[in-house]
Amino acid sequence: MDHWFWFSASDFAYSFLSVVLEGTPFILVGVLLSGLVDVFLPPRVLARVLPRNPVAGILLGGLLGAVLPMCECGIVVVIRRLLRKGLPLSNAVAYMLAAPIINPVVAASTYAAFRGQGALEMTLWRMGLAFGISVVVASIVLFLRRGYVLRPDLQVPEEIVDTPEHRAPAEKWAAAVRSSVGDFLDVTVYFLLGAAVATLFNTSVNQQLILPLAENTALSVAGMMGLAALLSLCSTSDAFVAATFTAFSSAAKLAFLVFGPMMDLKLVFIYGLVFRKRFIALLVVLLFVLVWLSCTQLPIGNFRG
Amino acid sequence: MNKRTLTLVTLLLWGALMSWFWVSGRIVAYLHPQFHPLVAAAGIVLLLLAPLWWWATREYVAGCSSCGCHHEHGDEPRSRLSAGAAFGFVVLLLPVSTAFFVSPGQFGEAAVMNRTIVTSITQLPSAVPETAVLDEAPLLGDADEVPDVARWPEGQEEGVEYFTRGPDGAIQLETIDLLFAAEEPALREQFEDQRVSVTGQYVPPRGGGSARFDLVRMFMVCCAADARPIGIGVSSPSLPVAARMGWIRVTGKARFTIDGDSVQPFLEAESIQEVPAPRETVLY
Repeated sequence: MDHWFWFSASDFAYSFLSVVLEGTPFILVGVLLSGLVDVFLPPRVLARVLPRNPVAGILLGGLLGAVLPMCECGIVVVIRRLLRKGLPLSNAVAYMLAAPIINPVVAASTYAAFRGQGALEMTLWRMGLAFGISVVVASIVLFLRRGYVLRPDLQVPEEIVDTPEHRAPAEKWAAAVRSSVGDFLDVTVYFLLGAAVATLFNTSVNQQLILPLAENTALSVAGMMGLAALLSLCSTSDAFVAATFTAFSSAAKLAFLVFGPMMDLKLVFIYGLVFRKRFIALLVVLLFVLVWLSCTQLPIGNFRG
Repeated sequence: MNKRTLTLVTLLLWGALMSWFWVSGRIVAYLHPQFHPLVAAAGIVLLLLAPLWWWATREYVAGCSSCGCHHEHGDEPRSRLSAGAAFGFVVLLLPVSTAFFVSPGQFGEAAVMNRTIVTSITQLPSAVPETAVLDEAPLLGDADEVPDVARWPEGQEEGVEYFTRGPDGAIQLETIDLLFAAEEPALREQFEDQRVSVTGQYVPPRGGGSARFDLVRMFMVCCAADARPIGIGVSSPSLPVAARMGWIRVTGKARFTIDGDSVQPFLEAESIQEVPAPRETVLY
């Protein structure tokens, strides 16, 4: 390896645009859904549907992605809207962390990518670990003050602030459009900043840097988590990239697949739309420790066939 | 310009940009085909949202503190731009439009070297090259034992004759085909010493001096951000007179070197031509 950093503006522009083109449709789905939730889902309906037991709510939030699949870019705006509607914070965190992984599209892509490398085991471990870690993090959030976790504008649920149900249908649709467009502008700014930072690393840093780590389990798991954070890939496609790191153990690849969709460079920016900086820092540490411990301590083995 | 107008401009620009990528076909260099309809749909939705936004904000006036509207007060669409909102619009408009004009639609040498060239199909489990069909074909053993689903495609000749030949008789291949063949003894036997023609991008030798260079083609799973360079070595009496990462076609003999468990394909070049970039610069 004769260099560790080599920047090219044209490579950066090319990769950056590809990330923007790939991510924008999913963000649009998220903001359109968010606009509809904003106007057509009264807070009292949400309160009626959700379990009163907080643990049951967290477990439900962790599994919600299976029926309401969202990618990590689009989910944050939906979460922001649901929080305003009074969704309990811990449920929201469980859904936000788990849904980009526990959904049918990601299960199928993981299975396809790991053909010949223990596809079924890798898919089940990925789903199971993502669920477990989402539930643990959400349970910790249960004990945190809303003011510690959320940005000031999200700390008071909407039922106390405003109730727009008296409006005429045309005005409701107009409100949905305003809400969707507002969310699109908000989340896209953060998405672009995150995509730019991730693209800088993705195109400029020599990825051979992490290869020496493959020999050591603890370092290889940490190295692959770091790589997942730097590359900031979409959860629907990251398995195809992880599968190419044949020098690394299954545990290290699993760490890449679980940590990346929960926390990467672009998400650090996008999470800023909902959470306070100190909570994002806590989330980085919590997720890193939990995923690293799980992938180094659990009997994962090396998947084959 | 107030926030309402800037929002309209942003939606129109993003919608036009995404639609243009799809309509012009430029999208093929950026995303896997499965994402192309999504980009088209996103472009159309954004273009539709622009007039809808204009309509939805028609009754807004600055400082509507008692209008009963459903937005964050102090952030009304017709209010003057705050510094934060102005920064937001700069981020929304500037990088994407700049990248649109600067992006060449393919990677240069820096990204290829940073991602390291893939020289074995085992490093690319998701790849399904043209030769995959050869793997399923009854090349060896008793044809009766081969299940129907694995039979050679009807109307096709067996083995290397499955591939198209150029006017000079050389078999037209992609870099990924030779990598796949390297892992399959039967295919390797068939390709060894065959005259083949492979198109790719020229990566000069690192350090200079050697006449052995790499011929690469990017392989994409979803988008350019995950693309990996797939390369084969080319030995030649002299280096091609081509730009770094320029498109060349190498015609020569296919060879395989075996080093323990590793089999590396390479080409002994007979001729090297500069060629225009293919319509699809990446392999999917």
